[in-house]
Amino acid sequence: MKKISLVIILALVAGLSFGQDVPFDKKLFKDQKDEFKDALKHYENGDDYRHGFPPDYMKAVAEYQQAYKFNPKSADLNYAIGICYFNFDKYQMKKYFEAAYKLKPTVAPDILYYIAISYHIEGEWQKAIDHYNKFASSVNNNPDMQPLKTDAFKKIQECKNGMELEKNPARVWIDNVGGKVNSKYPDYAPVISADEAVMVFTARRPDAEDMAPDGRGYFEDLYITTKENGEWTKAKNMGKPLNVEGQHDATIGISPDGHQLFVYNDKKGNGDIYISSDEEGSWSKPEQLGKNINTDYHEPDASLSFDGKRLYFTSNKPGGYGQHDIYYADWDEDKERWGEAINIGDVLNTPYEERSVFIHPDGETMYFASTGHNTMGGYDLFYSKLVDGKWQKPVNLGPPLNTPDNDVQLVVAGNGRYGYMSSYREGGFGEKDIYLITFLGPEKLPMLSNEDNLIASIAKPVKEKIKEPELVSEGSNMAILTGIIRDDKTKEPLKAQVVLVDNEKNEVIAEFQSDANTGKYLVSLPGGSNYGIAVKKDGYLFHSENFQIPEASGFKQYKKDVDLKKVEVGQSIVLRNVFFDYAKYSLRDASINELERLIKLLNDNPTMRIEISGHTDTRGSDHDNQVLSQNRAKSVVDYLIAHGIDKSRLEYAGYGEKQPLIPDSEINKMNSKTEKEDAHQQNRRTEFKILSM
Amino acid sequence: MMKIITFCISLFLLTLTSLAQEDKKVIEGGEVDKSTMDSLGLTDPVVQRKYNEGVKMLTSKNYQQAVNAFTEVISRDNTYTNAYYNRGKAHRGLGNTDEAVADFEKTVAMNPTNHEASYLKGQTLMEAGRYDEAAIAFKQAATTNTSKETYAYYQGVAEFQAGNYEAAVKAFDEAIRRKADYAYAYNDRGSAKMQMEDYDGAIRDYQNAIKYDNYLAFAYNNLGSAYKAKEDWANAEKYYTEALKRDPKYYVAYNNRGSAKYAQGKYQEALSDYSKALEINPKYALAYNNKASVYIQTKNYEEAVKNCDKAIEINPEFMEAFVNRGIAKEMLKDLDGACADWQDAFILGSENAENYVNGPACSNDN
Repeated sequence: MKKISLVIILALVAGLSFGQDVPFDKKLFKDQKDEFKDALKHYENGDDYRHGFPPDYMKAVAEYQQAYKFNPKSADLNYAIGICYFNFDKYQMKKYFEAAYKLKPTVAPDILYYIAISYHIEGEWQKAIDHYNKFASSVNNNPDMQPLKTDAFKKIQECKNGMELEKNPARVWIDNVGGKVNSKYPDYAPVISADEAVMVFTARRPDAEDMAPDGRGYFEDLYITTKENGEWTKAKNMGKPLNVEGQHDATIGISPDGHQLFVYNDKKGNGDIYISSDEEGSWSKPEQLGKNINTDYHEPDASLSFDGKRLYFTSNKPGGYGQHDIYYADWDEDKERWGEAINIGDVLNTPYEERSVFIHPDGETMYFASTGHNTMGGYDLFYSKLVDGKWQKPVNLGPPLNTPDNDVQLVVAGNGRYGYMSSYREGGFGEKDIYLITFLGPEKLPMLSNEDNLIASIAKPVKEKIKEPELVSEGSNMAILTGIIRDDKTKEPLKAQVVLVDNEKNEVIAEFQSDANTGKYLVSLPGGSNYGIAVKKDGYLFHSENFQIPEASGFKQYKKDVDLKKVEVGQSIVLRNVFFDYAKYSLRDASINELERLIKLLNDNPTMRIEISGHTDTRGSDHDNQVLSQNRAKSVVDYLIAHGIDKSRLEYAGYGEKQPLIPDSEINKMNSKTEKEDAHQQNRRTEFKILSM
Repeated sequence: MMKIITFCISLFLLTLTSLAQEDKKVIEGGEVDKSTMDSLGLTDPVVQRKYNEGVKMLTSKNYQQAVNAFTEVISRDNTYTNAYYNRGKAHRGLGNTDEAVADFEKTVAMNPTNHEASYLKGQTLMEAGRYDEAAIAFKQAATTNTSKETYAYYQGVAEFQAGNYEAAVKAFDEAIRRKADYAYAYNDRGSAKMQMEDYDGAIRDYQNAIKYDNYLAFAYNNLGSAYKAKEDWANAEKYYTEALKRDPKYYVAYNNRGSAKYAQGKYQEALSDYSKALEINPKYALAYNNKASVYIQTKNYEEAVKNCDKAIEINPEFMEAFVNRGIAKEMLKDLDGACADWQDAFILGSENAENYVNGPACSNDN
């Protein structure tokens, strides 16, 4: 009798600490045969979905929940539900794993691992670490569990990273971009042009697609929205040929000017990168990027440099540092294809995953997602800066942008202030939505104001000297030049060529096209160069602009509409990229590119006669200005003659300060020094005019 | 006939004496008694009458009438130094700086030992904000009279106001040489050293000022500010508190103590000091601006905006308040408002605001 009591007491104690596992055993449910049968059927259906190929965890959970209603005390069922949630909604799983463990600590050898993850994704770092440790010691001699044990040790480090990163949260705002873009279906993977005028993203909506067999909703399609008056317009399905019915069509990247779109295609079964362009006015059929980029392995991400000359992408092909790595390839002008892929190196790549690479149009900032480095769990977003040709140690973007769960695919606008990414957050329109990330930059410190009665005999206090808080420059170091190219007379938009030249190096950096429908163009100008910009179109005079973008100037956006003039007698243009030494008339080397263009124009029009004229600003003596402008015009003419243009076709004149583009009366009204200096700069110029043809 | 004249003179002199006695109390160099008249050989009774009328007008602050009277005196007898001197004072009363200065100069030219005229010339120029010239006038007074400490002191004040801090220190040195326990001179020399960022020198001077006059609340306040400049917050707080013990209505010291606490991250205490300053002086824009700074640090941006609004209402050219309101508005996602405020702050001279205006927050239509 005593023995029995002891057993009962022991059982009760055990019951108190572990609960009592109630397996789906018909012997235990003799009184509820029918209900039991029904619940068991649901349980088995759930198992079928969970173990199917591919598994369908959402449907599995729906079935399991029916069985759970009947018997919530089965350790195995709780565990099974936990595993399903782990695969599609991690925030729901903790309750089930903890119950399973309480009911039967031996329910599965990895149960403690999953409980640890449940804490981990909630940011309960210490509890997660404790459970990972407990798990590791519980599976000491279990050979099947060794990979998970290794992973648990990695995750312990991730929790420690999380504790560190939480001390300095990122200064960001995360705002839903709104119902014109987002829907109740999954909307994700946004890509944007550098000026945020165009956004393309992937969505799984029913408007043009059927349900996909992966159990995650409708087939993926590409959607597009544009920004008008600061607001996103209603997103539109991009249609054919980008979207193919019954096929996943997903965004990867877009060129900074928004005219080249990279899409993901799984036709071959291994995932490749395709490209489409809208240069002819509508999106072209996506084409393979070629063998140097796409391999038999998985290539899921791509991002194009500001000049379109380098493609960054990811691949899990062998020979890297493990799993997906970041690679790049340069455009081979002669062979008209992408060159050999080069691994970007182990400063960025780790033995873990590196994905969703995005190269910023400033040419010196890369964003990517990684499960390595100091991630706080799953994929975290990182950035790295290119300094003296070397990528620096990646920096974790920190919470709240990064969470213990997967955070992938961030794209950042040219200004560096705004970024876009997708996530599944409370208060959204349903499922994944696209969010606007505002990077607030370094904290702006408020200014105090104090005063003292410094002079004993004067009652009025004296204000303390103002010391402004030290500033760290914000945003990217680059400029974006946008505008519309039109015909000077008809104002019809023109599809023209925009040539970007590094004046100091005398190199063409890149060539862009303006939009065939709207005439809109966009050029990204990373800091640190003197840029010449020439807008060209057959039958029109070229137009030139000059931009000096300092190394660390922060972000600037310029709007410059260009009206191209037809090649006709009487037309004149300003040669913005002809430079002289200060107060002298010797041509600087940086002028060569512009002069070459002029020579080409004269060669293309062999009977054209032109006048070159020099103009100064209104400062300095009239006489000196007159002489200087005349000498400068002559220098240009001399150069043209030396390069084979017949003397009889050229005239020159110096107008000194007599024909300013912006008169002094207007300059005097300007507020800032910079504005005034700009105006004087506009007035100092070399022009040419067609005299006859 | 002779009798009548004698009678008149007697009567006049009688009036004059009583007037002069009254004047003496009020106006330095204003007295005209018989001996003065005699010594100057003033014999014209009209001149005498006019002169005394001028003195009377000056005393009763009828400056224009005083000027008229003295002018008439001078037109009849341009050798009468005191008429110039007193007309100078009357012009000063009218704010006619140039005329006053000319009269004081004439006085000195006629009587080079008249240090008071140089001194008054200095005060007149100071009032007009012509500090460099004032310093020269005070220096002349101090050179003419080598013992009067106030002349050297005011020379220092004028140099300070002109921004010539080294020259100010030298002048205060001289004032202290003339009067070893000259608390004001110590205080002001400390202030000149503050401007030269010689905080330790300033602290020594302020401590001497307090030593010689333990009731100078402002000297305690300044001592606190010298420690604040050295980021010695504990001493800063301590001396601001001492200042407040001596003058519980000293809102400037409350505002300063608030900022010493702010710098240590004691935002709630800072807030209560700023509020005290405002209780005493509800028009104290600086304290509103500082309250806004606390609210920015504690992320209460709505309150920050409200306090900046008040600061700007009181002082529409308050640069710091525009900077701060911009910061608060940015955090409230009112970018248009923020950028407009920074634009105003930039025009008022803030370099940071210029950067904000040109920065990414203000260069996009998001």
